[in-house]
Amino acid sequence: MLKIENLTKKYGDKVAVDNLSLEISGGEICAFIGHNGAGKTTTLKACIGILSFDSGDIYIDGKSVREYPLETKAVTAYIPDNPDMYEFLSGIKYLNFIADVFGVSESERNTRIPALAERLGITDALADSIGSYSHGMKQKLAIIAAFLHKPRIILMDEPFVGLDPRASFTLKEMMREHCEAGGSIFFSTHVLDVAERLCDRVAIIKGGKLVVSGKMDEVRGDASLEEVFLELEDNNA
Amino acid sequence: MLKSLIAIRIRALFGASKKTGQGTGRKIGRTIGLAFLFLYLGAAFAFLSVGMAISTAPATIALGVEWLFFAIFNVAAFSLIFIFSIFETKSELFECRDNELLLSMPIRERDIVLSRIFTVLIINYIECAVILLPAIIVFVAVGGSIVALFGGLLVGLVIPPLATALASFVGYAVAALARRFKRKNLITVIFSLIFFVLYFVVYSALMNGLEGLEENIDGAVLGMADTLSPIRIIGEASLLRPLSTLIVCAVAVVISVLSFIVIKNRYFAIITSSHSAARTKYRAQRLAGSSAFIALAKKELRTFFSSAAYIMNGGIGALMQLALSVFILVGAEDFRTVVYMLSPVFDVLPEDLLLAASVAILMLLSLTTSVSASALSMERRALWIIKTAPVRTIDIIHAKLVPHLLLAVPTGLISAILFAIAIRADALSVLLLLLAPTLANTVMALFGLIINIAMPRFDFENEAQIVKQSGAASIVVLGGMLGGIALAALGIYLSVLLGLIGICLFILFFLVLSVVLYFILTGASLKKLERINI
Repeated sequence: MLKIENLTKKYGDKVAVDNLSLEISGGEICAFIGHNGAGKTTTLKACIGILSFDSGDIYIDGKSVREYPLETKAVTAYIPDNPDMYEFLSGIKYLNFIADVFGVSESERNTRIPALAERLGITDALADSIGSYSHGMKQKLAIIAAFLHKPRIILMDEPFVGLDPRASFTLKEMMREHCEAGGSIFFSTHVLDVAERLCDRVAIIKGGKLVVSGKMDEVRGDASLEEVFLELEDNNA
Repeated sequence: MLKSLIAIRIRALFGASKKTGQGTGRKIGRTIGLAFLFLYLGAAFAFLSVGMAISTAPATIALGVEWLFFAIFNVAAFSLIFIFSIFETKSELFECRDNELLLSMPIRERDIVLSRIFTVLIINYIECAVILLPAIIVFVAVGGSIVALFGGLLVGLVIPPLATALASFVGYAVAALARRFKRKNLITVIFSLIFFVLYFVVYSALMNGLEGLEENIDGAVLGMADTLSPIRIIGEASLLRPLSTLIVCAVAVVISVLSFIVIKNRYFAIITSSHSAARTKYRAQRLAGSSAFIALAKKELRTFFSSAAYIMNGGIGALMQLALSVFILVGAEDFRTVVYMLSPVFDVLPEDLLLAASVAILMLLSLTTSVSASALSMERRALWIIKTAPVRTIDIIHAKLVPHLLLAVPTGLISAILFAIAIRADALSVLLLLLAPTLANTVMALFGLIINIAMPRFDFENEAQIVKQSGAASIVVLGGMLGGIALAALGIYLSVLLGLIGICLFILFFLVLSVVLYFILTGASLKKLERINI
């Protein structure tokens, strides 16, 4: 479903992502782990098509994000690490805008928005302007917007930051349901416990290079993900 | 700490555009280019000041009313700075995104307030210098007292702090009042319009005084000549008359200190006011869908109407166009008389000159609307939303033109109809009058967006930094104004040379320019927009 092939991204002389290859199939949740500045956000942004890259290619459902940007964006959703949104819009107007640009039918948006908002506990606040929202409320709104058009793949950058425990739990449920319905999720996180319990696959990046990638059980073995990550960090220091 | 805060504000004021991977050489080149542009624009405005001073100074010196010369320039500088600083100080003081961050640090509120006012003060000193310095030099050069050189400079040093302090106080009052209303932008826009009208009232009063002077001092000037008249005191301070200088300096110091004390004491309360946090419980309603383009266009319109600074700075040209058209309609006979008097000078048919002047004025005023110049920057850090949506870049570009065109084209057409009535235009003239603002507004919308895509800035603290101070807005606003003057002159010249055909050619020129700019926007600018990373 998502195939990253020899992705390289440079900022001037600095190589942010170095020849990274990765594949995620339908029904899989893949955690993307690495220290700050390792290249996680750069990779995610390249996948969604908002960051050009120097070489390699990225395919979503077999289509290159470079050659078919509109088609790949139509089946993808993205939640950035910092949910900057149109602060002058109310939550409901923002969601309706997202439904419009992603071509969600009227009947579907009128069913899905109330259901998703209720599930994340944000219904009462939908009439308020986004500018008055807390970080967690903005994050919830970004999550609703991401799930609204039933994307095939969801790319998330630190999605649990700012969420309350209830919303965190709900998001994990939603992620699992999405994959059970055949979709895929690729998300970066520093919360290794969540990654360990939630994900089918894990990819660890360091200094722009993928140091390990595979099924969670295979990568972890008998150790915890935290132990594996710290050992890989030390070995590659 | 104060020094560090001021350094941060200055960096924000002249903040670089969003880095898009350009090299150091290109950045330096662009900085030099911008510096030259601002120098050129400063020189152009100084030139206008010189022109006004040359026509006024000899008469005031000859009549022994030198104080009136300085009264006119000092009041003009003060009014301009005061009116245009109100919303600048309001944005800088109370709407900056880092207000809460700074308040959470061990920084005295006094330092935060001072650093923010200081930023506005720098701009105001530049504006004041552009208006007053040329006037003082001309005054001395045409035989005025050399004392005015020192007195003029002293008053030039006093006017910006005084105007900034008063503007800060009014800005504080508007911010405090606006917080009590749900539609804060509407309140701010209404206040903006009131102050704008006030500025023109003051300006008109001064011009009337000047007219009186040219008619050899009439009653109006004699009224102002009373020893205790504030206007006279303001003028005499530039001539270093002891009492007047003392009064002006004392008033400036007292008002500045009082204003600062009030703002410093109320700063925390305004920033942390809970009025904006009032919640409205959502009541479910059926959501209507629309096409992606309509959704984008509606979003752009909401962006425009979300910011009072954006409305006032971007859309004031359209308002001025409408106001002037009403003025022309009311004074239609005077307008016709002036043009008929000038037609023999240019050796052109009065009807042709009347049409050419109307076309040139409409076109010139259309080039003062600058909504599209901030359309991309106003996306802020939320640009990722439309960049990750499955919408064509050309649709994003077209949508970004919508607010500018929806605001400017109808007002331009209404203005054209008012002009047509005023000059009693025939069918062909009506058509040309309708085409002139429509095409000029199209040119300005395209030009503004091209420049904004070339020079986007997403990392701003408040909207005023984008719609007023950013490189893109400055180039479009001032370039449009000065380019408009040159083009208006071209239009008049073509009509003098070729009559009605010249006016048609002038309109055709704008049509061609629109087409060229559209190709640039949908070609190079579109590719640039696709490359912009957030």
